[in-house]
This record gives sequence, structure tokens and C-alpha cells, in this order.
Amino acid sequence: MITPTIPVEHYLYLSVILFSIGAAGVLIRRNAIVVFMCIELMLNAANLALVTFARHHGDAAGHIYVFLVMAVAAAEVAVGLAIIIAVFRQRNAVNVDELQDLHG
Amino acid sequence: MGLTPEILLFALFAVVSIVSAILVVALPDPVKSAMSLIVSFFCLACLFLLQSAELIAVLEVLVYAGAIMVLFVFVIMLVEKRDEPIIRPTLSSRIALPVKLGAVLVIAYALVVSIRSAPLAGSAELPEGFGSVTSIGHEFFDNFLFHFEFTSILLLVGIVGAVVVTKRKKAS
Repeated sequence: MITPTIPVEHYLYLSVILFSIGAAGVLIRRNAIVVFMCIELMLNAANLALVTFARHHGDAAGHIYVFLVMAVAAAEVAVGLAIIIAVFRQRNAVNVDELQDLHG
Repeated sequence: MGLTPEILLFALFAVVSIVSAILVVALPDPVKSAMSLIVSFFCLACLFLLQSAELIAVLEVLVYAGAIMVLFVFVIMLVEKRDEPIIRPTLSSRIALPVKLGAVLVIAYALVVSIRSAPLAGSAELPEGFGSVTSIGHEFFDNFLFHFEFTSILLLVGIVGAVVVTKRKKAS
């Protein structure tokens, strides 16, 4: 059995940094596909936090949550990329600044 | 706490994952962004292994770096027009960018401070076989059966939704 030597905080800091990079990417980039990739990055940062807490508490429930997040991410990517393709067919654009018809 | 191999590996994978995550945002070409995102996923899988989450590490590589990123690369090939500028600077975007970045940094700072203010006690002893397929399978079928079954419905809805959305309408 391995006794972990790295403090839990370090993993959480890494998780926060990755989440912030992903959030910045969502706000900065205008290409819809890259925005999607940044969302995946944020989901993975959350996964890292979940795995860290699972190890911290010695409870496998955190791993279950990561599994469920992965399933949701897979479904979300399939539908989201399908929407991007459908929009591209109609408008010939993936730049989110050019797609402003849904403004409230 | 000396320089054990575990610390060295953590530092290596943490730095590589952060650098490749920054490259995802910074590189103008979406294909290169996708490639560095794969590198980031691999590093995260190794970090999961360091925390003895074996099954999750394998799933990370199979599902994320494998299936999801293949989907991304396919869509990039279908959709991308190569010869257009990625970021077109307008006046409003020039003002909006620093504001957005500042908001992200403030949120990150708040998160870091909230972690700091609540120091965590020592980690629990890991039970035998923690993170293995057996333990996660037991957890699923003992305590999370409904969630497991519902996942299959979710994936089915995802498949049907993707097909319906991308289907070409017949010319009428």
C-alpha cells in the first residue's frame, strides 16, 4: 500500500489553476470548437479535485462521480459538436462572434 | 519531506499539464490546440495514477484522449476554414478582454484563499484495493446502481440527439 506524501492542497491548487485556464479560454477564444475544448479542460480540473478528495477520505464514491462526469462529457461532446456542425452548414461559420441571432 | 520520486513525478506532470493547458488557449490553430489538450489529458491520467485511481486513469486515456478527442479532430477537419484570422480585434473586444481575464483571476484567487483558510486534516488510510476495478464495481452495484443505469439512458439520448441534430433535412 502506498502512503501518499503529497499534500492534498497541492492537487487542489493544480485543479484551480487548470480550471482558471479553461475558464479564461472560454472567455477569450472565439472559435466554438476551441471553446468546447476549454470546457473539457474545466471538467477535467473538476475530476482532479474529485479524485483528490476520494483519496483524501479513502472513499471510492469520488471515483463514481468522476465516472459519471466522463459519461456526461461524452454525451455533451457528441451533441455539442453535432450542433456546431449543423450551425456551420447553415451559416458557414464557427466563430461565436458571427452567430449573434440568439441574443436575447 | 525530501525529494521522493512521487514529488518529482507530481511536479513534472503538474508543470506539463499546466503548460499544455495554456497552449490549448494560446495556439491559434485548433488542431494544435487539440493535440496539446491530449497531452494535458495524459498528464492528468498520470496524476490520477499517483493518487492510486487506476481505473479512472485508464478511463481518462480511453474516453478523453481516445474517443472524445478523435471526435474533436474529426469535427475540426469537417468545419475548419484555415485561412481566416482567429481573433479579430475590435474596440469592444479590446476592452472586454482585460475585464474578463480580471474576473477569472479574481475567481481563481477567491478559490485559492478559500482552500487556504480551511486547512485539511491528514489523509485517511486507503482501504485495500482502493481505486481498482473491483472496488469501483462494488461501489457502483452496491450504492450507485440507479446512477449507473441512468448513465446508459443519458448516452442513448446523446447518440439519438447527435444523429437528429446533424441529419440533413430533405429538400422540400
